[in-house]
Amino acid sequence: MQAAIDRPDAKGKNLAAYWRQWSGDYPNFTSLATTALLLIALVIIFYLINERFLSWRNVVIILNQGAAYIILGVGMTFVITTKGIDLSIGATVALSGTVVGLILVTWKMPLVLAIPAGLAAGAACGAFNGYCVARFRVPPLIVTLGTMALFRGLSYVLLGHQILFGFPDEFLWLARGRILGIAPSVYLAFIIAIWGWYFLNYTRTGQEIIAVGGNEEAARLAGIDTNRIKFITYTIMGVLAAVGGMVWLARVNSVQAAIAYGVEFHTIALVVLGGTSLFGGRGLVMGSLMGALILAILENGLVIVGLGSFVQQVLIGLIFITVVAFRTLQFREGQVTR
Amino acid sequence: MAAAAHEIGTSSRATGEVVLEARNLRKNFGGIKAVDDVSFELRNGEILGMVGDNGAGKSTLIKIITGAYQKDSGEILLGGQPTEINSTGHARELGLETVYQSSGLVEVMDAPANLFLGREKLKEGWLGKYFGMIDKRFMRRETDNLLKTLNITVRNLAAPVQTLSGGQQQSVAVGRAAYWRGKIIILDEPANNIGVDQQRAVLELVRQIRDQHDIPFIMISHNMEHIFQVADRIIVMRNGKKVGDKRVADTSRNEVVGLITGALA
Amino acid sequence: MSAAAPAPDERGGFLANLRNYHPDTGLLISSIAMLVVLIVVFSFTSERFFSQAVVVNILNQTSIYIIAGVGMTLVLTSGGIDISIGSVIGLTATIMGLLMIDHGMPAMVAILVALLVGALCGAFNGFLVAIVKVPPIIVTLGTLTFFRGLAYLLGEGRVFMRFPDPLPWIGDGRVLGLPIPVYIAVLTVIGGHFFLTSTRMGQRITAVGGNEEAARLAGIDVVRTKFFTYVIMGVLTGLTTVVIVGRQDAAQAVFGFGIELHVIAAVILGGTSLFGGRGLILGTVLGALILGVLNTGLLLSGVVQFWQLVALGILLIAVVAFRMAREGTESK
Repeated sequence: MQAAIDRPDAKGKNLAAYWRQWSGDYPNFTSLATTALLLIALVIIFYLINERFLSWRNVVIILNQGAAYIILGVGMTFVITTKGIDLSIGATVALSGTVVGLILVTWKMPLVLAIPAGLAAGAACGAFNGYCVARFRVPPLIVTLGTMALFRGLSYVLLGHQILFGFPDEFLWLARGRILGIAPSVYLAFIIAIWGWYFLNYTRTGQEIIAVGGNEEAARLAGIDTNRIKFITYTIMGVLAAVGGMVWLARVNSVQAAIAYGVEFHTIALVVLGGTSLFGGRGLVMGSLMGALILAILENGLVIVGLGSFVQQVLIGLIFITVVAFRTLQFREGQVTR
Repeated sequence: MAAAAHEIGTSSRATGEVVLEARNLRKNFGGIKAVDDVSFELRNGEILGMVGDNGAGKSTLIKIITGAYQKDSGEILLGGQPTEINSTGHARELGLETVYQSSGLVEVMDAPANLFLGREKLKEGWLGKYFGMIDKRFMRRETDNLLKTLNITVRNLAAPVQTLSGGQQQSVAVGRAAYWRGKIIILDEPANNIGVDQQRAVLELVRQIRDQHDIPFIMISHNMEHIFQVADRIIVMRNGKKVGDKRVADTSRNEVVGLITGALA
Repeated sequence: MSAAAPAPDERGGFLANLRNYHPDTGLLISSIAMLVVLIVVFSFTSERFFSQAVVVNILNQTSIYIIAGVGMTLVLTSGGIDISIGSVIGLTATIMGLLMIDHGMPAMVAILVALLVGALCGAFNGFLVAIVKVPPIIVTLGTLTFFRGLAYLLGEGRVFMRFPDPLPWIGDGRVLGLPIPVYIAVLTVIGGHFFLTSTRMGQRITAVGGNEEAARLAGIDVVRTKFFTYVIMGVLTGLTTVVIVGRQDAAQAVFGFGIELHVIAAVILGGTSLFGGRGLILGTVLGALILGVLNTGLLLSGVVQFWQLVALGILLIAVVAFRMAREGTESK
């Protein structure tokens, strides 16, 4: 902000200068466009390698795999937009999933009890994170590193090494039922993505989330209750982790304390792929939606191509590192020229 | 000398009624008298410059008025009413808008979002009522109008303010204070860290807002040029005390510098 | 815990004098007090707590946390973090297995290769953090997946066993009744403490973590300093791997899974600042001992093993929240 130099007006300049100005003015659009291009390129590549990739059956599988990622990604987009991070979401999935599993499978109680209880567990996990981040001003990284152990530990305390399976059909319907040929969980995921997009861009709280991540001091001086915003953000993340967890449970029809281990990496990766800034203040929910689809396509496509899960892990890690490095360089360039 | 200056400062030639009056303000930090028995008043439509060396107490004084610090003793009157200012948020509610030398804007958000930061306008009707939808079109139109009336040219309203120059960003911040009908606008080194041309533009803006809206300003600055360019009256702080209160018309740079350094005290 | 923190003593008592002598003393004393409290509690809940086997077991477990913890202390002091170390251990262990078991490489050469692999992994992290300037948490979150994937890819799910001498001796041998890893840990701590407090590079790491801009203006090569810090972290992770492989007399790709949590917890419990600029190698030793005592003590007291994770999580958050609150009041 201290820079005294005006960004050169690009009128009458060459195309490159014009592009630079334009992409500086509309950073969101440029990020979304690059993500969309990556998505389309992947689809074309896998289709050229194997036509089966775009068969209706496979598309349904990809969407089904992507649903949980989308839901988790929306929450993580909010968190990263506030310049925070949440490493505990895998553990939150496990703990809320454990609650749901115990109620439905072990105690054979009805769904109307299990779903609110699972959501409440997720909300409690998120609220705990949010409280520690906002109230004690402990860095989010450390809070969620701690709660990653805490929530996972509690899941183990409740379940031990048991694997609960045999969920009732009406619960499994979430991932295994079909509405117009597509699983209900996919509709749910898209509804949550649209809500997330609306919430972040068109509501007061959403704008304040962006402001807190963009410049916390300015937000505070403008009268925004930054602690409240952080608390809300982590609580939403917790609830969405529980929802994503239920979709996950319904898909695999089982739960154990070790479920969703490491899912935080995939979620953060897809959010960053989608163009949300690691430096706060810029959240692209629709980018995360595409990021989730890219991830699901990679996992599915690499199997179709005949590459094992180890190669997948290496490749996804490598793609993630490359994209992050690229976006960071872009961000720094934007800072220098402004 | 100081007493005489005070009388001149409050002479009937000042433009409007008194909007802010500080009486015998004191603030100590562990034995150091940061603000020592300071009184002054601010009238409508007046630009009050505040000068002094580092540590002279001007920033502590301003922080008391904007609610960032609590005074040890003394009284603050707003519009004639004794008022306790508890926090920066409270100060804002009372109509005291502050423009900081930096960190006042969220750089990654666009100008309309910054203008309405923390006070977003909701849409009329059910969309706003039940879905909390903010009215981006309204915010954009208002920003456009405001910037036009203030002669601030922004190439693209939808672009993040970080694409604007430092001077333009500061103009948006000053404009924001004016837009929200601040009863008093406080400028803390408003023209620091920006280019010379842009400094002039920001000061011009301050004068223009005063002329158009009759809003009084308190402006802290190290820069004597800036103060003499826009201020009507100058308060000089030294060692926590007010050592001068002069109308710009009745003083000179040399005299003010003398008061600051203590050569004339 | 709150009792452990010495209250500012206005009359200039013994504690206050100590604190004036060295500002970190208060943190070290609070760590020692925490450790003593834990030991006292567990000596009541379990009779076997002071038996030689248990003490040696605690020391063994702790020495691994300490060796990696010294590296992590440096990284946190520089203002960074490294959560990929578990995966580096898996990758290094796998490569050691391939070299020694499949290709019959002598142990001493393989150990050097292990240190080299660790250094390369660290250099990769360091490159991305220092030169590309990606936030460290994001870099190491990515390499966490990437290195582990490489480990699985190379190891193909195998378990390598029966390593040549002197590797098992390094992991399990005794000198004067104490396990070799303890000696390695002690040497690492002495070296690390000297490096951080008394060498130019150590001072620079602290400066970069404390105020990067000021360090740059003072002419310190920030990029080189950060890069170097991650390389040291990598080498010490390689050393940790050697000890782990030696003790288990086995290697597989899953080794080191989740160890980053324990190592970071040990460093933070020991008083090293999360925000950089203050590193306490001796505190890390205490932090690692606290974790070792906590783990073993809970186990001996008949508490279900899973509660260890819960206790670790709560302890970590509580201690950091406590420190943040204290720092907040001190700065006011």
